[in-house]
Amino acid sequence: MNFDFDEDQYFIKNDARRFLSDRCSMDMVRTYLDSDATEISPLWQEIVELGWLGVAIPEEYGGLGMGYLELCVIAEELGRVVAPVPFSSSIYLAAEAIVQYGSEEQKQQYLPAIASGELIGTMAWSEKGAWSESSVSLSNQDGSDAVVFDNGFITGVKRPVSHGMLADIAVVTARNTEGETVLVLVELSENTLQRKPLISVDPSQRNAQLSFDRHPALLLGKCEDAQEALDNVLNRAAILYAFEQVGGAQRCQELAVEYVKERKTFSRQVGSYQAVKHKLARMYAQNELARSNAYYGAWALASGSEELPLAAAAARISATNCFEFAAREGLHLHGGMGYTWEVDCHLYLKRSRDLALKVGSSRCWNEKLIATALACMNDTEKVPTWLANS
Amino acid sequence: MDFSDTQEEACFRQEVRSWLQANGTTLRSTSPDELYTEADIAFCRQWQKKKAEAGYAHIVWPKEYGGMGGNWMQAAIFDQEERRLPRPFNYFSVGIGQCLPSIMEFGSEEQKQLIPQTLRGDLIWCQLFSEPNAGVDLAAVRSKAVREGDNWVISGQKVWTSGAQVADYGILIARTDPDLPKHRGLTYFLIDMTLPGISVQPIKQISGHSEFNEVFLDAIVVADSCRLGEVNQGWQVAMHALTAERFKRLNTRMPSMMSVMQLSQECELDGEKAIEKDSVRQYLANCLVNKCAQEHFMSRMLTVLAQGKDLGSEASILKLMSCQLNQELSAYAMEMFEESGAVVDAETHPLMQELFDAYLWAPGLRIAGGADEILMNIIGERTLGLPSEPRLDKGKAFKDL
Ligand SMILES: Cc1cc2nc3c(=O)[nH]c(=O)nc-3n(C[C@H](O)[C@H](O)[C@H](O)COP(=O)(O)OP(=O)(O)OC[C@H]3O[C@@H](n4cnc5c(N)ncnc54)[C@H](O)[C@@H]3O)c2cc1C
Repeated sequence: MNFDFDEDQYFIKNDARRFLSDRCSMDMVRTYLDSDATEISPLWQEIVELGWLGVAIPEEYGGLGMGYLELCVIAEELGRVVAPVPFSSSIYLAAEAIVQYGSEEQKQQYLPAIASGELIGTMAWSEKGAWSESSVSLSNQDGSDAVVFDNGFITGVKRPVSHGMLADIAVVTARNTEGETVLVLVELSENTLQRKPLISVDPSQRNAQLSFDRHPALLLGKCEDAQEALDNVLNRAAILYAFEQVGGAQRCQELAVEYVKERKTFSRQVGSYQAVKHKLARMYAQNELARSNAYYGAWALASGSEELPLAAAAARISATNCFEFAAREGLHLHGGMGYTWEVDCHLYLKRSRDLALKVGSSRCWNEKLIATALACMNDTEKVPTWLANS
Repeated sequence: MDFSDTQEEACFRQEVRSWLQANGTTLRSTSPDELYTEADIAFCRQWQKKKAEAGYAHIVWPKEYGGMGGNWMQAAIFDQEERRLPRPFNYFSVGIGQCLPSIMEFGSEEQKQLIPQTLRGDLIWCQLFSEPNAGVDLAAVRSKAVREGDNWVISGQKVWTSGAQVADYGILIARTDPDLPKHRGLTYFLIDMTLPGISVQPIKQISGHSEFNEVFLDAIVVADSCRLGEVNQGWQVAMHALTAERFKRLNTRMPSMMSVMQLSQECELDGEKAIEKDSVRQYLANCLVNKCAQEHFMSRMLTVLAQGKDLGSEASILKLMSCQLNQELSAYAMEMFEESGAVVDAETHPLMQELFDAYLWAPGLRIAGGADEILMNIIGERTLGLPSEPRLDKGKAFKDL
């Protein structure tokens, strides 16, 4: 047993941190919020050149085939600087869906292009009013805008689609004419598609509304049970998002600690007041605990463990909670300064809120966690020690 | 990163399992009424002795001191497997968890002879630190030790001393120089509890039981060879003991998360199983997340130890967060019975007694060995580097405070 990353992975992480602190300044992130919805950050091209996109994509499909642990450490560093790039949508969602469920031909066609940055991918499942708590329900069956797949074409509206303003391809959830859930792959280039930018909590996410009108679509190859596939892709993505969240939370904590060490009131450093110190101690504790669950997720992802659904939900929920707490309270401890556009706190606050909503709310993940835990309790062999022991 | 056993670890786990199957069949949990009774202590000594004979009493320490000479991962494996069985009260945890580590670190070879004896279950220890006016502010102890030739004469009063009524040995800090600032005038001793002049008075706790005591020290005579560490360096030794206390697997007395989940499948609320209620599911999910995180945080700390590094003050997180979780979860579980939850008997539910014990134990554990606020100060100041609060006692001689 070993509950930490290894030296090589720390090397990648430190390298990524150095690169990002140099190339992803907070001023750049701030400016990007106000830029045109279709504009891609120049950071993207640099990330492409570093090869990060292909870290977990198998070599035979143009990736580096390193693995998920390497991807996790990169995710943490991207989260730490709230990098304004479509990395998560393209890699955690689109590439993952294709790696896991694409046909051989689809893998050959799309993965090398995603790994090389030639294509940006995303996943589109959310529809207006189409969420349910028990599972991610796909399409709004009665809604007139629900996306329907009919004989090679889709029609309907998806919103919001993360990085939908930038993406070239998307994995889309739909219902076929029999009412069954399907996953399809679409290229976002035809004139049977309309994109509309959406005003969003975190404008750097380039959320879009995609309206399809008999738009060409191919069934995602090997996917027999689309609901199960979608759950799996979301579980895997949730772990990677959790690393981004933990990275962001840790940065919020560091910024707040630095600030309260400097700032004085009543001739004392603000950080010497217990009310402040204890809040930060709690923030630290929550961040470390969330990190522990994220590591559990990383291991489950990398090893293909059966505990993956449990680990994903645990990682996801605690990462969301810790990032929210750190972003809110970190801003608060900066006083009036924290409330300004010029100080970085709001960049984290907005990213935290966005990530908290992205692959399902905490309510929805809580439900998944309980359902999975109850199911595994039926089989004593499969109950993880942390659940079974007092 | 590998949360599963290596081949060697899997072998060791198998060994432990077979050993526990062969030797652990008679194990039973100690009920609160049996605590500190002769019969229970005798039973627990036997179990400890069995473990020691197999090397399991301290997996990591060398064989010459009664350990197994193994590693931290093996220690974790033994712990995981042992916790699957009913749990007798661990009368040896104060000794093994808090007293022995500082002997191992600072002790003479003669003092280290106490280590194998303790691991074998022959010696029970208590911690004579707190006093009526020295709890959180531990360095304010007034019990004094005066040098007389090769001996020290110690007088004073200790309080909240868990297990003093049965302990064979105690660790004690006393003031040896009141002219120095308070942290610097303390010395640390290993005390034979049968010495004349020691009297122990039980204190009745909120549960009605008496686990902790007042201990009066009336001019007890202690040989200088019982001193651990240098004269006036007792604070450093005591800090070593307290750090060990904050990380060791806590004797939380809390039913497992799984048993609470099972309970929620049995209890009925408004004509449906509690677990079918959305509010219950949401609440328990949050508890699951926290429990999962705490267990994996503990695992990460193990990896730090396994790499031969020392744990920092961040290990305090574990006690801080797990006590709060247990306090909340035990209360919530009682609420699944609605008004019947106020009745602690098997007719309500066989788990009820355990839940109530957990509920009554949690507030004590939040105070003992570093109250919540103190743990947060430690994390804030040592881990995050925040400035300490202004203090009124800094640099002043103890006698002038
Ligand atoms: C079940 C149990 C078992 C124990 N076993 C032992 C034992 O075996 N050996 C032993 O030596 N001691 C033992 N103790 C004693 C324990 O270590 C002390 O009770 C503890 O250190 C608190 O000291 P106090 O009771 O004097 O509280 P005080 O020092 O008076 O503090 C009271 C409360 O005030 C708050 N507080 C105090 N100072 C601060 C501060 N600076 N900042 C913020 N908040 C503060 C905290 O909330 C604290 O709980 C035990 C206690 C309990 C409850």
